[in-house]
Amino acid sequence: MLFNSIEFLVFLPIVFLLYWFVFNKTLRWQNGLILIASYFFYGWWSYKFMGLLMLSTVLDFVYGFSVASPNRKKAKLFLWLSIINNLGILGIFKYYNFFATQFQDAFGLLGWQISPTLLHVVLPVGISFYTFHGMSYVFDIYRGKQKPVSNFIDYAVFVCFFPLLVAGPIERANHLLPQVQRQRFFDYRQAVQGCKLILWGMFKKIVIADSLAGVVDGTFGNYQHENAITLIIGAIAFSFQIYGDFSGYSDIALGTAKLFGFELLSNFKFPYFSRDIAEFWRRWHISLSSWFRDYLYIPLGGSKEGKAKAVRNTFIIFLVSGFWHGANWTFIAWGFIHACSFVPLLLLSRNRTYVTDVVAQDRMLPNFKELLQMITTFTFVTIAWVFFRANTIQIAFGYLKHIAVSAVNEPSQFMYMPDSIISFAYIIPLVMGDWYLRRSEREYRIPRLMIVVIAVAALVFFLANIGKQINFIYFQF
Amino acid sequence: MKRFILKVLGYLIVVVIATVVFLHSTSDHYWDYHVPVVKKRLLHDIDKKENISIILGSSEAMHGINSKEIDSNCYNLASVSQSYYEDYYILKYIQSRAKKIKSVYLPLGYFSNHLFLFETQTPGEALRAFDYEKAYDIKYPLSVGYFVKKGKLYMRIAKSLLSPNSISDFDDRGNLLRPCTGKDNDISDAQASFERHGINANFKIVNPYFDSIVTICKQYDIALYVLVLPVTKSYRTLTDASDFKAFKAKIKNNADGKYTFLDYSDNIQDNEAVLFKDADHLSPCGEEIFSKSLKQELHMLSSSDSIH
Repeated sequence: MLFNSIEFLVFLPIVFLLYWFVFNKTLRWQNGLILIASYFFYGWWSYKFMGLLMLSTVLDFVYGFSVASPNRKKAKLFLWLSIINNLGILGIFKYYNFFATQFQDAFGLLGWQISPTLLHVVLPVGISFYTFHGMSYVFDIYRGKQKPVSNFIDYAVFVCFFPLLVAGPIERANHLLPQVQRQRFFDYRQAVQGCKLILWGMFKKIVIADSLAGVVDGTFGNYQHENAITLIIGAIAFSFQIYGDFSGYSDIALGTAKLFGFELLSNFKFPYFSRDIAEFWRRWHISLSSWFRDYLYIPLGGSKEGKAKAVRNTFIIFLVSGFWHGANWTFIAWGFIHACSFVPLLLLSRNRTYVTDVVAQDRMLPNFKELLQMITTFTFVTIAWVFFRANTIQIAFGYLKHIAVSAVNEPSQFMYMPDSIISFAYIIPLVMGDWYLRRSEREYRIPRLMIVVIAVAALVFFLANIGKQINFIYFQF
Repeated sequence: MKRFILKVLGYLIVVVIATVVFLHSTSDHYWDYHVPVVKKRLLHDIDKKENISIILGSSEAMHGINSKEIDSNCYNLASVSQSYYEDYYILKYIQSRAKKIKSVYLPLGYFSNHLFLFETQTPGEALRAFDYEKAYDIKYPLSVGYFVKKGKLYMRIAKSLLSPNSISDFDDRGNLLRPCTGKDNDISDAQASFERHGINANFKIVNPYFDSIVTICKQYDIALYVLVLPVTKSYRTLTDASDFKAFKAKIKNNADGKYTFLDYSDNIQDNEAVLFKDADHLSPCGEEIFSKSLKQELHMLSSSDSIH
């Protein structure tokens, strides 16, 4: 079930009313309803993969007890079994075909022709997210940060709570499980905040991201025949499409969770207002980057074992993070580019310059230096997005090369605005909205009139696009 | 909880009402693509061009003549309901920028050449006058209607954001990109089309601009071809029985070396169901055939220097 579907608009109020009016008596009832609703939500997309979700949940629940063993050898053995199990599921469904074809190509270069059997199955939605949920639970138990949960229903709710099931945020056991294990009571303020978040998320997805999708698809699909200015606008449009799409999803997820009395981890904190790449990564897909930081970067030694190891570890997490997004060299290249830009900051010990405050925290507008920093960071991020969006590395380079060649050969084109300039009609309200909200991130103070305007826009666009629901980009990951 | 549900319901009612009002108030705004603006972009390097030919006129010419068939430097700048009023300003715009205009093809039709764009009966179409303002700096007479329609324009802009990619497909010479399939045609609408359109009170406003076009062409030594484009037999019967017949004759008689008058209204008589999109517009298949025959005739004319 998609958040931007009629089904969800029916599903959510029904579950909400049942939750607070019928199943509100005890914790067991509340969690039971959430579990049923979550499986219904997931099964609406494909009931066939509900078994896989259940298997993954059961295995990590069982491993949880084993890795809690005081016998460290036994604990370590089961930790590795859990890792193999989770990565095995991911490997089969997400990466098998990629590796098989890579081996085929590599052997082909050596003159050996092999024909590996390829799998013809669709990628189960949310697999990258719920396996990471399970892994974080097992890791935290192994490290002694979390005790195994004795109630399977509680654990199952943690893994497959429907707002975060298919595209995150990737929750941590020590953050979400305590909330699952205590009864929730209706909180007016929290519910109102939840509605605002859902509304702003819907606006970002339905009005901004889906509208930009046409411009982006048209530009990337026909880049050889477009001029530089169109390609530049196409790349900028994709930056905002993916942001609107994914942060929109995350906002809806956070808002929906609030309606049920849960607080999820924040996934986006106005990333395009970042002043350098390090800050960008503290603001973009926070739950994934912090996951890799805690479970990969730090165990590898982090930055505490000298600069050389820190650089190595940085490349590892960015490359793995890129590969997490999909089995394609483009994602690896995207991670590599970000690593290359992060490393200089790391070597100069400037990677923690902007840790706490948001840009122009106490002012209405940024100063010139901040503006320049934001534009530079955004430009770099946008160039990297070209690799993320392109189907192949060759296309990504071709796209960038075409911009340069066209700009040099036809400088007069910059005097005329292409049709795709309309993208800014979507981008500007998003940037203005985010700029306005950036200082009250947890509050989402939106004036009443703006609430109506945003809601009308979302509803009009929803009605206009009815019947052609566009998936969230991150569903494919 | 009660307070929350009431608040959500309150907002929901306001939002639904506002949405219905918005959708209703913009529902008659058709043409969410801006043909004049799109076609204007073809002229981005007009100042470098020499010996160009342009096709002006309304939808009959937009659908009926393929500029690529006419000559290698010909542009189809016709658009739906574009009258002599807009044609004059477009010609002036190009004349002041291009190095040399060789020929102008100016259709003469029963309906749209006499139409003042603001007064079109087609819902929402009047708003396209503002696209001409934007593209060619055409000034329309100011009136209450002008400002009311300008207000509606902003509503349309808001609504057009719903489908940013709806700009129709034209090739790099302003011709509609459509395959010749012979399907989706309906030529049974002659009576309705005739009654909906026609020579109206604005004839007096618009028609002097025909003379202005003739004057410009003469002044700058531009070959002007006034073309009556093919229509179906049933439509032709209706127009021939109207004031249009006398008007057409007048234009033909006034040519007097100032322009070449070519009447193709009965040029296509067979296979109307395939060659016409509707009663007074050629289909892609008809456009292909007619454009080729027009080119042949123009070639013959230029070699024999005769007047049809």
